[in-house]
Amino acid sequence: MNWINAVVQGLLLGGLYALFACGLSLLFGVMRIINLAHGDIAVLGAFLVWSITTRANVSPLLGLALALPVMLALGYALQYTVLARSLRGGTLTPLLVTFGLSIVIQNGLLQAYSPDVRSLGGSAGTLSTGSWHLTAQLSIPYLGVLTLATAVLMLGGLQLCLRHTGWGREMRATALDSDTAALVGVPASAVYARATAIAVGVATVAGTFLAVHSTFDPSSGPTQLIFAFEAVVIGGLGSLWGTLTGGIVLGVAQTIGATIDPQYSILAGHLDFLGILASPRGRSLITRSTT
Amino acid sequence: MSLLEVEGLSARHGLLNAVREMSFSVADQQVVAIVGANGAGKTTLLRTIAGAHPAAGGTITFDGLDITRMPAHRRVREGIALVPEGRRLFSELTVEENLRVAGRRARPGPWNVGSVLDAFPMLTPLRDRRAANLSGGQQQVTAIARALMTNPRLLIVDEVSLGLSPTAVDTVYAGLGRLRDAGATLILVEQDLRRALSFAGHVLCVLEGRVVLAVPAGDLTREQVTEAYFGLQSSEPR
Amino acid sequence: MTSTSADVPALWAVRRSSTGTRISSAALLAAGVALFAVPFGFAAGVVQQLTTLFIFMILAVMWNALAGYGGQVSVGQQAYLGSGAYATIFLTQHAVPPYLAVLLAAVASALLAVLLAPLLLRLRGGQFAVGSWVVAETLALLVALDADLGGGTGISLRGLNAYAPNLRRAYTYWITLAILLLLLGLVVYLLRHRMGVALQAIRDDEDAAAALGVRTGPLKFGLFVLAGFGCGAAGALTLANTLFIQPQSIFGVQWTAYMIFMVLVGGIGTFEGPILGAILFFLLQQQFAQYGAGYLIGLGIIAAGFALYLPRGLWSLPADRLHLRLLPVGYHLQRRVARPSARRSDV
Repeated sequence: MNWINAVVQGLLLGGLYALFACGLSLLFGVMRIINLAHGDIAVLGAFLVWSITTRANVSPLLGLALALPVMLALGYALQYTVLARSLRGGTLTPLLVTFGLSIVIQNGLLQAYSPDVRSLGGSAGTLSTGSWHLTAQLSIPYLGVLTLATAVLMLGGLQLCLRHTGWGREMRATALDSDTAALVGVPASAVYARATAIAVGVATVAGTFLAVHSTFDPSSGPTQLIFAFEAVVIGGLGSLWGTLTGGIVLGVAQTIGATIDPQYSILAGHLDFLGILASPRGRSLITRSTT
Repeated sequence: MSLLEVEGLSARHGLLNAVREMSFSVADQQVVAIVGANGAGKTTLLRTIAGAHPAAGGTITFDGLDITRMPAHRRVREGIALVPEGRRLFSELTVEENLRVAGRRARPGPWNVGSVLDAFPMLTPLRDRRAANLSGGQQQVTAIARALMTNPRLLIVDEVSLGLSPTAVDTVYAGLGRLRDAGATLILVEQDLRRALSFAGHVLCVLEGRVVLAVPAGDLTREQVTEAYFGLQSSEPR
Repeated sequence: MTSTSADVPALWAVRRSSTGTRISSAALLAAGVALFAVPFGFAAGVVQQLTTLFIFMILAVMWNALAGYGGQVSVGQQAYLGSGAYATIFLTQHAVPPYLAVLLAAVASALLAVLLAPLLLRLRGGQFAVGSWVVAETLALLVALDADLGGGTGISLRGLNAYAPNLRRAYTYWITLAILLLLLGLVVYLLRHRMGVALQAIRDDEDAAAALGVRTGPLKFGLFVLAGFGCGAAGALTLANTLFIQPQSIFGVQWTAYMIFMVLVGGIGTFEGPILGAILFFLLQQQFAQYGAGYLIGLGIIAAGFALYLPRGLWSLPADRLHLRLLPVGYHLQRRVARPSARRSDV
């Protein structure tokens, strides 16, 4: 029964990781960059939601709704100010620049908010504490289900938009060949800005769910980046449904590790990732993504 | 009045001067074939006109507007469309999606998915096929159709028949002929001299990055072109 | 840039070294040797500070070898710092003399790199960056689980108290300087070898280099193992210099931040840049480290700013204007006919 519980909790935790991975996966798919500040942007979003929630004394979900427009605008600005220029500098420059950005965001948050650990769990009420008790051993928390459902909606919705809307087609075309896209009138920078805004927006949602689910502090970002990256690689780069699967595999590995010993939780996730990387499947995942 | 005016245009690949101070103009409804050996600078010239390659000097004027520094996507909105060498379709997208991407920010005009498919009926059964799975001729027609979706005033086609079977070439030229007869302004790069001379109203011979001959196609013999083509007239181009 | 190719053979000759680089190479070598005398004439504090500076230099040179020459941006070199430090602890616990343990720990870190290479070198660009970071985090977690290595709370290096403090600092200093000079020598050798040209081809465009027949695999492997050795040595020496480590600090990603800062500010892909960057970083660290978060924000902004606006770093400023080069590690064109006003043009 313990194991079933671990798998169920891992499945729900996987929703959170898939949310974190979504934006990373999108930016890699469209712009071929790994945004090393992705986790820190999510945490920045969480702090913004925390500020709104505590100041205005509203629920975290309303706080998220108020924070999202700000973060979307920030995503646009990020592309036009920093990423666009770094993309012109070759393949290494976006990595170096986003790493610098990561340090700036982390320490900026440290200055603004102190290193204290915070949580939005308290202001979310029964959403963060309530659960359906199926048996004595197995209970399904409301929050986990909401997180997983949000992840499915976001990843699925994004997938549908990429497939069936005009801007989705532009995004896929630009991802395949940005020079030719420009020759049919599609400006790559505008498409990239839209992708960055979506990535930052989804990261904010992920950061908020993290904050409700557990705790966060200014240095939480890198860990979330690593989890997101692991989910993306496990699920296969360039596929949003794969990202959902990857998040779930990572979540389950962590909760099973934690069932053996709480100290093994994160380690089990890392080892799972490295194992998949070492497997023949890992090789094919990587080669597919670099073409 | 000329639609396109190229004045002293230069373009480089690193240290290589691919286009050296070229000047020529293309009038409205004119059909110009550009001929020249491989490496003469034809593709670079077309890409520079379309904004896919930066100009190192000179000016490009389109309908009275200086577009030399304008980014490629804005030139499309002004009415310039390039069918690039190698077609460069969006391989993972279907034929129809390729068309729709180009149509999304198009200028107002007669071309839309319906009218393009009417003009190239061979595309209708292929509209849901991924571009990667098309034959060379089908790709070229799709690429031309995609360029038309932007409602261009000037359509530039690089290497019209390169890598196509003879029947595919006929199909492509049949389509281009309909555009020409409807009054389109066209610039073509064509390796097949016979084709180029019979299809175009004007011929521009390019050698080592320079225009060496620009005359109406009717006034031109094959021998004249061959001379210009291989640089027999002047071993030391200006 | 605008000169045509036609006049090159007549007026220009390809040269590796010039009188200038010969003089500066000799001066650098002499300075390196002279630095060994420092512990005889300076206070213990100076010796310890210089040891820290040399460790920064080792890290910068190694990170530059990976990213500047191999095109591989690693965010996980702290894996080798940590493995070097903890291997030193492990070996001293098993009766190996401490300074021998430092050297063996560097070799052990190189072996770790050999083991990890097949896994990580599959990855490219950002994937390699984060993948190497995962490895560092995994090692940190594994070390924290091991009570014999002090677990998460950290551990002291025992065995060095057998030496008088001044002597201990001097020994650590000499070993650090020796390893730094060894690694610098290796990098010069690499760059002057045919491999150096191939490496820079990989950095500029790996696919194109591979298409031209450059065997990129063995070269990247070599650099990866070299960086494992160098960073392992830096970790072991950091332990010998400070005598205490904790997994979360020695395996911390801040080391990568320092390395990126030093290399970007000094000049990525140049020989001299990382050394210059290490000196600047060392001075900044002395002046501003007490400001904590604000200092780190400054480092982040400066590093990102250099990547965007001066991607070849500070060294490129004098190097481009004065054609300054301290070591003969490149090729350049030199006019055969000496003209008073002639400027050499780098290729």
